[in-house]
Amino acid sequence: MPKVNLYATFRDLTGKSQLELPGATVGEVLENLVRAYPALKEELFEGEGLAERVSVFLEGRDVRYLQGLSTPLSPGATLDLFPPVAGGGFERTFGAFPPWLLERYLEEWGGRREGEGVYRLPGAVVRFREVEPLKVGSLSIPQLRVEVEGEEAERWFERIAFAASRGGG
Amino acid sequence: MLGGYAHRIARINLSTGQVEYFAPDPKDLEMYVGGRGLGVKYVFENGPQVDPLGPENLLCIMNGPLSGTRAKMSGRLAVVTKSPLTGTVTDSHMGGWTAAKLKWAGFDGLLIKGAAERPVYLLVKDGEVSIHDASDLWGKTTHETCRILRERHGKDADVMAIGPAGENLVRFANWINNDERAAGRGGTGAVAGSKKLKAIVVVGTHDKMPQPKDPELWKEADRLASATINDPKNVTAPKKGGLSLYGTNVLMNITNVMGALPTFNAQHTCIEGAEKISGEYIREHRLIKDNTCHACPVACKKMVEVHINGKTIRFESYEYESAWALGAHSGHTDTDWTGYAIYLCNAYGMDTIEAGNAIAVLMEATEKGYYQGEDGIRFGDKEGEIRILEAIAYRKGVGDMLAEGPARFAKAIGHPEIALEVKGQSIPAYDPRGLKGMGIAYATSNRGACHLRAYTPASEILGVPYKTDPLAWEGKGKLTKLFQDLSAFTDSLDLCKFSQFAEGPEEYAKQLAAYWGRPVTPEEILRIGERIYNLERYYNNLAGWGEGSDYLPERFLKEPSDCAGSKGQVTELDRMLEEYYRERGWERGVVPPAKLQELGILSQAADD
Repeated sequence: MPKVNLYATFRDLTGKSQLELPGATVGEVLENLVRAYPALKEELFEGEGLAERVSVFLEGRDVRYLQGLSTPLSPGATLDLFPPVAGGGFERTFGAFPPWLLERYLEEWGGRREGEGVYRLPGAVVRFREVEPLKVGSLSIPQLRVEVEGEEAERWFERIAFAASRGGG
Repeated sequence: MLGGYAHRIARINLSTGQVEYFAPDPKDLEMYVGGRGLGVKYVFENGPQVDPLGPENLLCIMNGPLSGTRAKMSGRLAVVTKSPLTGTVTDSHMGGWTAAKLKWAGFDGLLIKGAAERPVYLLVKDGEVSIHDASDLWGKTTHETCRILRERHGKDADVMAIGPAGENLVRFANWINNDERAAGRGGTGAVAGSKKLKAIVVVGTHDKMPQPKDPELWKEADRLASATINDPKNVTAPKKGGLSLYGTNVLMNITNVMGALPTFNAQHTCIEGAEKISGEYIREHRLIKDNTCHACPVACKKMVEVHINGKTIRFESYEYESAWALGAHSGHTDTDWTGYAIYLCNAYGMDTIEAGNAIAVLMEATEKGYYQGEDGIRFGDKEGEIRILEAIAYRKGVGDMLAEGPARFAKAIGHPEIALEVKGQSIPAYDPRGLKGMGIAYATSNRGACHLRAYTPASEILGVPYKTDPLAWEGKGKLTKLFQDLSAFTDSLDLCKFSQFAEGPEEYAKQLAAYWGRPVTPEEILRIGERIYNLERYYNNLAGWGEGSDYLPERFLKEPSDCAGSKGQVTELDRMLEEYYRERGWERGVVPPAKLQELGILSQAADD
């Protein structure tokens, strides 16, 4: 049966950090999740589709860039569900800033890995995921979505943004 | 003692023939690093009032602490002086191996003053500089000069030379080396010409490569820098990323569809057929080989072949700026004629950007009747363009006026408004009506209009470090300051600008710390960049560029763009300037004493 890891406010809403739910596709598993925890419905869905701000990862890949809700799941699959960053959070999409490099910085700064693309720093949680690269003419520039929340979110966000400073010429 | 340096600089007086050597002050190295920063420091100390083409002007040939090491993209050489084009301090950088070989020959820099009575060249070898007669080379092209001197001094010799344009004091003459890399902007070749300095030969071998003071940290720093540059998803990825495959000219098609390509002397913002002079087209139809520079896996340089009147001409490189200036800006998109014009500019030793602007200004002046000489040419006249380039290099006919720079030419014919210049230097290939950040970057560039002080298209086009709307002015002042400071630092290491598409302050700080042998924070390197930028501005203020010097050509402020992508747009310079000055802590373009003290510039100047 597929596993579902829940993060941040999803944990508050369910009281769980991991669940096992039946389903052969992402959509079926999420429907079963909502059946068990109706409070999640508004968080996860907009109409019939996946809510824009929610992140659902299958083995580290955003399901939006797989087959969305129709993405098939093996019985041993693991989904990671991240809620949108709450008001007061800090977020930005950085170009040419690879996820492995951000992970390295976060570890250097004393961050603790809590899951795929999730690190806890003193006073803040950092979530990141690769999103569609920016394609301009014959150029393709990788994009990394980074969200920081918590009491120290601003300080850590600024540190990440500074480390991500790039230019060109 | 800080690592990465040869700790030896030559002071050469061409009037007396005297050569002296000194070790750079460690305090200067910590404050200004090397390359651009240290060169600016020496030019500042030489005084801002000197005549750029007089013997008292100082010409600095500089490398940085990472030059000649295995640091990726560390093949840049800085030429720093007072510009005869702008009267500002200027720096221009060339790729290839010259910077590395200068380090291997035992030097962090050459400081050249005075003027020789007869043409000379310098031989730099084994920690010594000698002065040699160059009478037989005077009059020769850069290509011929490099070939002859390499034959004379052997395969370990690297040569940088000026051409006829430099000899004839064309105010935008440049330096070209044997890999056909140019220190292009600001007229540094004319400064050499005024000193009767034809070439510099540098002999060095990599067994003299400096080693890092902290080898363990270096391993980690180098691994990280390499991994970011080689990341297969990035634009710098060797043989995969767009910058590696197509070089700088990958931008031609992009800016054209954005309405951000100045054409017909920026009377328009796009051109039919831009594809024919684009990086994609060149790769498919004219590419011979992907060449590279010292320690660079990206290999953005393109050896190409063009065909003119039955003759085949090979050269490097079909860069975006050059293709724009001598093609689209001049009203045509002919692949071969544009390439031929680039080749000739390299051979004569003059800046393709300024030369293209000179051609475009002459074309507009001719079409509008502002210039009525019989050697005037109209937009799209490719053969006429070739004639005028030669006329500029040898100062014949209208070429003699254009050799003074497009700004002086336009003023001389009574129509300064058609010169697209800031502080006397012409714009490069981005129209600030379609890329608003370029407007504030051009206006506040310390060396006159320039895309390399703050490359805002990184953000406005490529989303690096984050995406901004190219048509919005908000936030562009802040972004420009960040880019200016970061580039002032990397120009002092001296690393290629392309490194910034992959590396950031953390990576740079680690590499410098490993070589210096003491901790360096990312904040410190931005502080160094800010210090260099402020010292340049202070120099310019003292040289006469005070309040009101950060302007843009009226065309960008009053004549709306006419192409899709930016149609109807003008540049909101005043709003961006206000934001920028606030970020800088400047008073209408002037650095206040408190800022100079805060950055340690004024107290250090007083100490000296």
